[in-house]
Amino acid sequence: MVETRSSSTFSYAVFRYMKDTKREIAVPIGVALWSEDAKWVGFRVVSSDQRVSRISRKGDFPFINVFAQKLDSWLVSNHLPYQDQTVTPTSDAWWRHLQKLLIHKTRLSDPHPIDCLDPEKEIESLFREIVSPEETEDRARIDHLITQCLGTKLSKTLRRGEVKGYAGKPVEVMRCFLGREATVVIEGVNLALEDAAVAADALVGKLQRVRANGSIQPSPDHRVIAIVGYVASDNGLNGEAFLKDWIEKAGDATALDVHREGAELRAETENAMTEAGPPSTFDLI
Amino acid sequence: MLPLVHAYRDDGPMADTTRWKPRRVFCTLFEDHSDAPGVLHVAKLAVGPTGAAALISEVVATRLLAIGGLKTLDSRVVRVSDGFASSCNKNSGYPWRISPGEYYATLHRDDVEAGPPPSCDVLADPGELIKLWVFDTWVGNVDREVEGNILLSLAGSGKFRAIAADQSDCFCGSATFCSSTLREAMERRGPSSSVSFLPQVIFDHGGPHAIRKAIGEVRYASHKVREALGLVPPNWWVQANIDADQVRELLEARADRLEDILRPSQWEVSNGGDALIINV
Repeated sequence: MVETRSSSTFSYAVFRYMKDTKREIAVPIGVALWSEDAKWVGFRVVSSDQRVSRISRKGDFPFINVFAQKLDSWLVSNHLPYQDQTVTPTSDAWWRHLQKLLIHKTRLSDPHPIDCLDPEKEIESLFREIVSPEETEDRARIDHLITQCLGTKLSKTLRRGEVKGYAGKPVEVMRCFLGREATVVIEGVNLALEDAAVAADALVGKLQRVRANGSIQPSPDHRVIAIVGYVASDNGLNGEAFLKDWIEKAGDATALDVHREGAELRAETENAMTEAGPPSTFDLI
Repeated sequence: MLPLVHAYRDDGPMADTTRWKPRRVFCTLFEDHSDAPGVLHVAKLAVGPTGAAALISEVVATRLLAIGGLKTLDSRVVRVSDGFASSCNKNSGYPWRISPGEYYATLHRDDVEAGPPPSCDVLADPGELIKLWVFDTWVGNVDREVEGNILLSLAGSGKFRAIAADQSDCFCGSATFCSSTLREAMERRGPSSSVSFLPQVIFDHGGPHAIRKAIGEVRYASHKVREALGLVPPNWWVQANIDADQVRELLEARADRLEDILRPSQWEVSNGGDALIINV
């Protein structure tokens, strides 16, 4: 028997950026999600601090930014140009009308139905799935490399998901193991990219937040063993060695090259899990 | 005359929400389409006296704005053959019956986004909005603030230039343009509408001086009115029942009165935004 659950009808549509109008070559740059029943509407468009394949920072992002500003103002004012009837942004009619207005660089697909249970989460996952900003692609690649280093059995023991961080709020990590004595966190970072310093800083901040469970200071009752797999430049660390040191010192982590130190990464993880003890039944999110 | 092109292949609607429902049409330079598929244009296949008035408005006002140094789209006359018209009329996508003949088109641009700009921060030269407002006031444009009537093309440093993109409702709107009330409407009409943040642009980019400078440019352009009127295919005047000499006389007179209409001195005071009284 199928369990019944109360639900609202949701629709979504995809924003596409035209790279070549003549050949109708377009790149997905955002999504919108709405429901008349749930009186919910939201959109998510790629921002200039994200990278999307074939979208140029200088040539394309200014157009996307202008479009996002206009969409925002239309949603706030609850009105679209050339709109005679009163329709709300939670209706398919509003988005169908918007579709007719978007005739230049940014276009909108037809509305599509979706079985959405949590719109806040859904819009994020739709955005990640359809737009695939490069940070996601890159993270998926590192995740894959770390999985290879760990091997099948260890990868299965280390679950993906969230651990409790500062103020008891969840922090998403690449992989983790919650032991009775400690929590093991496996993370990844690409130090070969131009903005590796930004990624390293973000990672250190994340590890600090994981450690500060309930307080701004690391909690002695909540020991965290952090292991970071990093991708280095083709010939090994090339001017970014200081970032590895920074992660190790400020993030209190062990950082290992996923290409050159795969066996060490695996051994370090096994040791960490032994130290963490048997699985904990608490603190699961 | 404007450059002539020949409608070859319809590529679908351009802006279905607007009055004249422009189409994307590939147009060739040669009548036999030996250079097919040609180049993509946006064609306004407007019909009836009001439609012909809209096309005249496009040709004349676009030329005058361009003479003033404003960015505009490249205008063309597009000739629709018997065969193309018949094909259009068999297609349910067309909102009205198309007759063979000459219509207005612009070169399609795929490197622009629709305006109006959301704020002056995105513009490379916000001052060009002042000039556009002054020229719009001169030619009696009624709908510059409407979505798509300014296009945005990317300039350097991630900012945009404004392109005046739709001049079909100058001369107090195409219905008034082809009516007996044109003279009275042009004599009574005040400043044109513009972007919501125009007062800020005026205060930040020259105030009365910028308005007076643009009025001077209108005076220069007013000497070229005959040239602009001469670009209109003769049969459009007949279809719209508009007298070209009357249009010239009205434009020249309005150029002389622009200082009174726009009252630049009012922008010297802090409440100068009150000077922007829009005629409806």
